[in-house]
Amino acid sequence: MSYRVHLAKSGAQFSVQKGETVLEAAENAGIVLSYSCRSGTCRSCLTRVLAGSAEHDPDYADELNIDAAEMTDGYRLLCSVLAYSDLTLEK
Amino acid sequence: MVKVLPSSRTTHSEARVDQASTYLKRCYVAERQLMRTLAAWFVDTSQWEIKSQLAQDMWETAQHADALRTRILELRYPRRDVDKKYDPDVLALLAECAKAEGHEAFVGGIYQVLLPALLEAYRTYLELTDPVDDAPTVHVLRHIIYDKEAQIARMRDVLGLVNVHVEATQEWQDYLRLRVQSIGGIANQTEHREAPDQHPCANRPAYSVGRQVKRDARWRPALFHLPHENKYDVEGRKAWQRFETLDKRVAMQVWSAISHFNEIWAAEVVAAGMWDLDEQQWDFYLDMARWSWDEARHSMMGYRALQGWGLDIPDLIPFANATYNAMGPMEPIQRLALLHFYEEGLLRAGTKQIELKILESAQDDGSAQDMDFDWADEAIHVNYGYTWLRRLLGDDNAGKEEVKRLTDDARGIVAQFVLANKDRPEAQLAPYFDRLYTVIAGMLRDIPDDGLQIQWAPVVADEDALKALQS
Repeated sequence: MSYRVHLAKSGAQFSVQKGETVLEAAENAGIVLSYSCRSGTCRSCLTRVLAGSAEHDPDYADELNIDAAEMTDGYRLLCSVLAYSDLTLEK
Repeated sequence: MVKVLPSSRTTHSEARVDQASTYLKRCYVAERQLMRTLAAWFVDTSQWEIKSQLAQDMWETAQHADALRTRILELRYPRRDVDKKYDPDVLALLAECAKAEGHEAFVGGIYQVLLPALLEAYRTYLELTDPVDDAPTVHVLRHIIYDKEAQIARMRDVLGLVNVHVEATQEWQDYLRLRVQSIGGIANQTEHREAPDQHPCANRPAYSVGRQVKRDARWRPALFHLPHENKYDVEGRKAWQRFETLDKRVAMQVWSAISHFNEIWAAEVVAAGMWDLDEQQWDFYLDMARWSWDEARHSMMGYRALQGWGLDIPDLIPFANATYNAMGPMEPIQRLALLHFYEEGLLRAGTKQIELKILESAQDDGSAQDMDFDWADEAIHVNYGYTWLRRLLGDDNAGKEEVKRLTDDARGIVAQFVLANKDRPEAQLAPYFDRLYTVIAGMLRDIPDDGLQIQWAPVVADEDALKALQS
C-alpha cells in the first residue's frame, strides 16, 4: 500500500509506503526537505497538510513539539507523520 | 537480655541512608550554585582560553549536580524538598565566591579553594561509606572526583599558557578558605571555625552578571562579525562579496568559521539567564547548561578552523559583542525568546543543511564535521527553547502570544541598536575582509568540480535553495 504526496509549491511528487514517514519517503525519492532532529522535537519540518489524511506515529505522538491549535490548523511534523491517503503539502 | 549474632563487620555510624542524603544534598547545592556561578563568570570573563574552560567546567558541573540530585532522590530524600531547603551556609559560601574582583581572583578562588574543598568532601564520603551498600554513590563520586581533578589540572595549564597569575589574588583565596572552614567544609564534615566577617575581602556587595560584555583584549573592538548583522554597512557587504567571487564554497568556508567563532554571544545569553533566573526547576538549568556549553563549543569550532588555516585570528577576524550587548536592556526570558527565534528560523529554513552540503562540496572535512555536529546541537536547542518558553510563559494561546510579543519587541531593540551604532568605526567590516581576502586568495587549492549548484543566501536560506540541492 502506498500513497502519493504532492508538494504544492515546488510541484514535486513522490510515493510514501505504509509505515514510512513522509520525510523518509521524500529522502528516498531524492527530494530535500528541511529537517533536523528526526524525532519531532525541533520543528524544522513543521508543514501544513493542505489535503489528505496524515497523522503522527501513535507510538510517540504525545512526545512531539506541536500543539493542539497547530494540529487543528492542519500542521504536521513530517519526520513523524504517516500518510493514510494521498497528500498535498504546503511545500 | 536477648540473644543475637554479633555484627558481621564494623561500619561508620554516619554511613546510613539519611546521613548520606543529607551529606550529598549539601554537595548538590554547592554544585548547583557553582554551575550558575561559572555560567555567570563565563559571561564576565573576556580572556578567550579561560572563558572557554569556564564554559566546559560549567557544563560538567551541571552533570555533577544532576548525578548527585538523582542519587539523593534514591536515598529516600523527599522529592518535594530536593530543590528547596538549601543549606544557607553553602548558599552564602557560593555567593561569596561570585564576588571576586576580576577573573584572576575568580579562577583562583574556584580552582584553588572551592574545588579542592569539594574534592575533600567527596573523598571523606568515600572513606566513610560502604562500597557495596552504597555502590551507586561511590560510582558517581569517583567520576566527579576524576572530572574535578581534570578541571583543576586543565585550568592550571591554561593559566600557564596565557600567563595569568592567580597567586596575586592570594588574599581573596585566603578569605574563601576561611569561609569554607567556617561552615565545616562543603559537607559540614569538619569542625567549624570562626567566620571571617572582618576580613578585608568580606562584606562586598552581591554579584550580578554583566549586561555588557567585552572581548579578549587581543582583538580590536568589533560590534558585528558578518554583513547580515548590519544592513547599513554597504562597504562591508561589498568587501564580503569578493570572497564569493573566488567561489561560493570558499565564501561558505570563511563564513562558517567566522560565524561559529562568534556564536559565543549565544552561549553568553543562555549563561546569563542561568544566573538571572535563580528559582527555576532543576531541569531548566540542566538544559541551559548544555545549550550554553554547546554554543561555546561552536565558538571553539570556529576558532579551531581559523587557527587550522594558520590565520592571524585577532588581526583578520572580527570578534564581536553587539548581539549580546544589544540585548542588555532585555529581561532574561526575552533574550531566550529572541535566541530561540533565531535558531528555529535557521533550522526551519534548512540553513544548516545547505551549509553542510556546500562544505562537503568544498571537501573541507573539518568544517563539514563541525557543521554536522552543530546542526545536531541546534536541533536540541530549538527543543529547549520551545519547551522552556512554554513552561515559563504558559502553554496556551496567551503564552504563545507573549512569546511573539517579546520576540517582536526584542527584534525592534536589536534593530534600534544597529541603527544607533551603524556608523561607529567598530561597526565597519570592510577593513577586516580586505585584509582577510588577500590572505585567503593566496591559500586556495584546486579540486574537481562536483557540479553542486549553489544558491546560497547566507542566513536567509529557503526552500528554493534546498530544492537546488537536489541536483
